[in-house]
Amino acid sequence: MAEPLILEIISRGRGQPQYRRIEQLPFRIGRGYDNDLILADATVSAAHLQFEQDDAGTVLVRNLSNENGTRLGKRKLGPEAEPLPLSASLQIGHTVLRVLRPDTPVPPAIRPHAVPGALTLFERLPFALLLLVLLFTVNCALTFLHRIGPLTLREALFSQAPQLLAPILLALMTGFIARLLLHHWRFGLQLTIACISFIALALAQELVYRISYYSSSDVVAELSNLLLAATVFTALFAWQLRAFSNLTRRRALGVALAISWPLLALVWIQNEVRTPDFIPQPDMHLVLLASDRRAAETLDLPRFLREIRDELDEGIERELRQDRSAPADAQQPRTP
Amino acid sequence: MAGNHESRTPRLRTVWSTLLALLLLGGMPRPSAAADDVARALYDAHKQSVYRVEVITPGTDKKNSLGTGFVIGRDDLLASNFHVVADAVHTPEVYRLEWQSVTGERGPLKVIAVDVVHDLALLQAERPLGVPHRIGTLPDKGTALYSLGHPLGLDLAIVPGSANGLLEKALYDKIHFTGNINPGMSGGPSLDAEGRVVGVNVATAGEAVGFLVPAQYLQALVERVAARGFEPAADLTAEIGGQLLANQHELLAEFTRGVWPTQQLGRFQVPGEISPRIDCWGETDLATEKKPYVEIETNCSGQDEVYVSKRLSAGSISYQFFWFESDTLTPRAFYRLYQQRHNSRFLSRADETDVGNFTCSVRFVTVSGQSFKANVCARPYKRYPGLVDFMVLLAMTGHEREGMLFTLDLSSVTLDNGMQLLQALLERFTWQNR
Repeated sequence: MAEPLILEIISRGRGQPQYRRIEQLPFRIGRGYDNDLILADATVSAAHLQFEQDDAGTVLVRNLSNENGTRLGKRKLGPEAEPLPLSASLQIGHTVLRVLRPDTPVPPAIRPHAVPGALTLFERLPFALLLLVLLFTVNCALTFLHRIGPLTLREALFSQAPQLLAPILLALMTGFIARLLLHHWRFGLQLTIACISFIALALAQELVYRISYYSSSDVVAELSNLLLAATVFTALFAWQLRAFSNLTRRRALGVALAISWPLLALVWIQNEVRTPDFIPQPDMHLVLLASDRRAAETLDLPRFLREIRDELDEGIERELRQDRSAPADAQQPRTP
Repeated sequence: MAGNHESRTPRLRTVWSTLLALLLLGGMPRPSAAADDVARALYDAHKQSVYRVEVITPGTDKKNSLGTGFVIGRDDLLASNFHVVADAVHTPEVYRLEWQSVTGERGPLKVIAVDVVHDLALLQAERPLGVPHRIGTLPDKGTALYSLGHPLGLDLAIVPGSANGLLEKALYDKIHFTGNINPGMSGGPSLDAEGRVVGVNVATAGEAVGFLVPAQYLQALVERVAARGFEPAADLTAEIGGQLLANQHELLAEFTRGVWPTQQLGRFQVPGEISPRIDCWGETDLATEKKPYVEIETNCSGQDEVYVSKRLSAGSISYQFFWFESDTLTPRAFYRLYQQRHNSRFLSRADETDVGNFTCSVRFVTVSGQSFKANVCARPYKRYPGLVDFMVLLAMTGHEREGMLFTLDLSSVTLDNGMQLLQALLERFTWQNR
């Protein structure tokens, strides 16, 4: 045999493949202990597969298994030996094999984005504490703006102090999970994520409120709320996943998307389905803001009356049409 | 806040669960000896022509509710209240009507005509029931009246009392009767000493304050039915719809015709009572340390509504103004409180068999130079075409520490009439610069 071949073994449930050098042919693979390569795969026969060489030096593959057989690509191998195309994949049981030349080029190494365990700025505790102070300051400022009676600084500080516990407790909880999974608390990172979550929540509320007033529509506000929540939640969730594990950024994002978006879709569908057919109170638009910025123009009285008249006429007509299209027997109480 | 639709005159419907509780209250004033004789004579003369009207459910053949009726117009016709027989009118496949005499005889009844606005119904029996009552005129204040009926479903009773004229603030004419009217007496006659019917028992406000439908409306109903030869109405639902429609036209036309007094509300001058039949109440909350804003409130409403069914009341009207003002609050804090008050609920027990869903329109509008955010909503009635429930909520915007809310609730009006009243009200808002 002129040069050795490389055998790539991909076992199910293993992240990375294993490699074996084939120095000499024939080379037999199976579960039995007299093989050249012994596989622990229970779906592999005692003697399953053999690589051979004919007189011309061509490498052949021969299926020895009567039980589960061997697939070359998508085709099942017969009892005769066949020429083996290099780098074609062979499936035996749950194991996939590939035969490669030693000079097959490999892709260049990728640069790691973040080495797990290394501390970036976000993961340092001082940065997290800074965020915590920011959150506290914002809360205090809002309390001061919303004050009803006279409010001293001391009272404002004291009233908001318990609010600080929420991100700290959340960070402790996620940190504990990280400790279980990674044997590492990473408290700084957890606190950063928790603080950013709370800040994002406060900002999102303010933003959605303004959108709602600006467009005089709860529908727009709800939609932007949903999209905003989905995006921010996905980002934070992906980040948290990465903090828990050694997942790459792309995989973490994939998992977060796959979990959070179907969940949100479910919530949305449930809302749609659970809305009762008959709502005894009108669905008014009730947001009022001191900063009176809005998309709708202010109408004079005649135009106002004309526009609402038209819209109400249309709405009432729609209601009555729906009522007529509803099954008639639903309207009549049943006679016992 | 918003629509104060609660009637101060609860209906006389008999609910059997309350019977015992009410019985325990006991004690009736002992009438004087002279009234005693008149009452005894009237009772003897009329006991054969006053009947118990029962609404029977076929499932158990038991009564579901009851009232009183008396012979009027022709010897086989009974007059009663619409609210006594409403169930049988709306769902004749579930409820039927029966009369029962003081001697215990029974027989079926059929509704042939109604006056839903004045809560009257004419019922036809299959055999003569007695001598028709004579109809009297509006009695003077202080006239002694004798009201007949089955209080709480008990045996026929006669209750002496006195007439106290028409109610001033009622949207629909009612005689104020001072005497003990109880549930079950609904639809019974109130007689003067000569035995003429001057009113039909309709409602009570407790403590010897009762209300009667003036006999002129009964007269009109009987004449209307007599004109078509006492034929039953072809379609009672359409008749009720037509009456509600005509009633709201008349009522709203009367409102817009009148000259409205104005009232001061913060920096706005707004309409006061738009009709003498409307009653306004006011309240002022001065700023305190805990609640550092002034709140001035006026609440105007018609003290009356039309009974259509257990769930549906029609013909109610109310409008409210709220003024908020603060010197100390930050604009953000003020608007937070202002926004909490920016809401309105439509008081109604109507369900999806009565009405459709509300449809709302949101706009910003300039009224007297000030900008308002306006929610205007309406929902259609399913059985009575053309009628809607109409409600409006306006909130002044653009002032950092001043706010004003305006609500208008109308039940069973046409959209046209609702919009016209809204326009008339808004046109009379006047902003006053300080």
